[in-house]
Amino acid sequence: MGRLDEDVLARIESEGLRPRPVILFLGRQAVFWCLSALSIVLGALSFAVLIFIALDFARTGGREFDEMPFDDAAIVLLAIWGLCTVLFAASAWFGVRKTRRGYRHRPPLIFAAAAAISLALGGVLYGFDVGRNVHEFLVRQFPAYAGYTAIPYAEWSRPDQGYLGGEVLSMDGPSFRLRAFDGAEWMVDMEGAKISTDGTPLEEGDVAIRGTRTAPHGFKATSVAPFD
Amino acid sequence: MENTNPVTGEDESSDTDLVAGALRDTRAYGRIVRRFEMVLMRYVRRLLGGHAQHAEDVVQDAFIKAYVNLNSYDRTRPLAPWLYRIAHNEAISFLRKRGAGPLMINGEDGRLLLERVSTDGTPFAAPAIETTGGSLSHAVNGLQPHYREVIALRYLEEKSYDEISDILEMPRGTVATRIRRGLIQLKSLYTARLDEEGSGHG
Repeated sequence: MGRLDEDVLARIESEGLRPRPVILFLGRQAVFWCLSALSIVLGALSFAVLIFIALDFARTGGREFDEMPFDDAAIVLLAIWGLCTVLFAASAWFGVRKTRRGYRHRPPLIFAAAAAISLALGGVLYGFDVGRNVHEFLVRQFPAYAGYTAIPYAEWSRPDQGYLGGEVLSMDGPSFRLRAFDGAEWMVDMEGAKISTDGTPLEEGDVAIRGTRTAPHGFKATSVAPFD
Repeated sequence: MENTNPVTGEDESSDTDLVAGALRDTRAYGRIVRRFEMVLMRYVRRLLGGHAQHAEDVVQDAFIKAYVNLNSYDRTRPLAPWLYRIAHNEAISFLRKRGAGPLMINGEDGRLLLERVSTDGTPFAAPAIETTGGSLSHAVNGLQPHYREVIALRYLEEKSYDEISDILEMPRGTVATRIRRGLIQLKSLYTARLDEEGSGHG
């Protein structure tokens, strides 16, 4: 064997090698840490939105819980939390593992710790109304998100334009009593209307009605469909 | 400045001093090479097995890579595991390019390993002692690679669990689990090998 130290030094000299600058490694570490922090914050934001949506539905007087809150929560879970989870997994893997000694921690532990921090931070953010603000921001900015998550109460609260929606309270021959989304009660005449609910409108619960306003609280329906 | 022991002639500078010196002056990097070349050569030879004649090239590449990445070395940790890790990766990369498997243990290493394992209070304790180590090296070479590398690092390189964790970049708990399972598998392979040899002689 030759003198390895001399061979190594000769090669360093002949190839003009220099140690890479420390800022390069610090920068790389910073990127990984930032990625981890970002994913935790996004996870917290999505959790704050989830809390907001769940509690918002729970607090809605009159409508209480029907199928909607769970549908919406599931969609939000998929749309936001799912996206964050991908980022979360990537950053947990790259961010923590690639940091100095990050490999010493078991991946499930990293995920559990990051998730716990996200949940705790999400609770705090909800307390500051961040969940509502994020949700409303997403509804304003992203039509696809709004289409999935926003319930079109406003669209079906325009009786003068022929759109009326709400909960059927009782049937009265060819008419039914309806509590609209704004809380006002209406009598709806459905004689001759196309009914596309599974059972009677009363069994359906929430319905979406197309037709014509005939009185301050009277409506002539041309179609009655489930509201979902 | 070199801190040489007047009696042994060994460089007694700390790892941190060595690295700081090498960053200031390339020539000082030779001290790092001299301090670690023997252990890394031995380790890489073991990893390369049938390709041991390439060990010097692989170790040289490892030292070059270490030099270029010297600023990424964590000065709060010992230098040896960091260099082992680079050498390990270089050796694995070398073997991968040649489509070869790592770490074939010879008879001498097998005997050494048997001695150390038998006195370590492990699940391996006290199968029949042999003198050549050939059966054990055969059993070690039959181990799954991820068990073989931790067993070799623990019992041939005599690395601590923390050092193995640093070298292989895995959690300490995983190292402990692999060593334990590796020893169980090793015992099973070794016993089977001895039975095979016994029935062959009988």
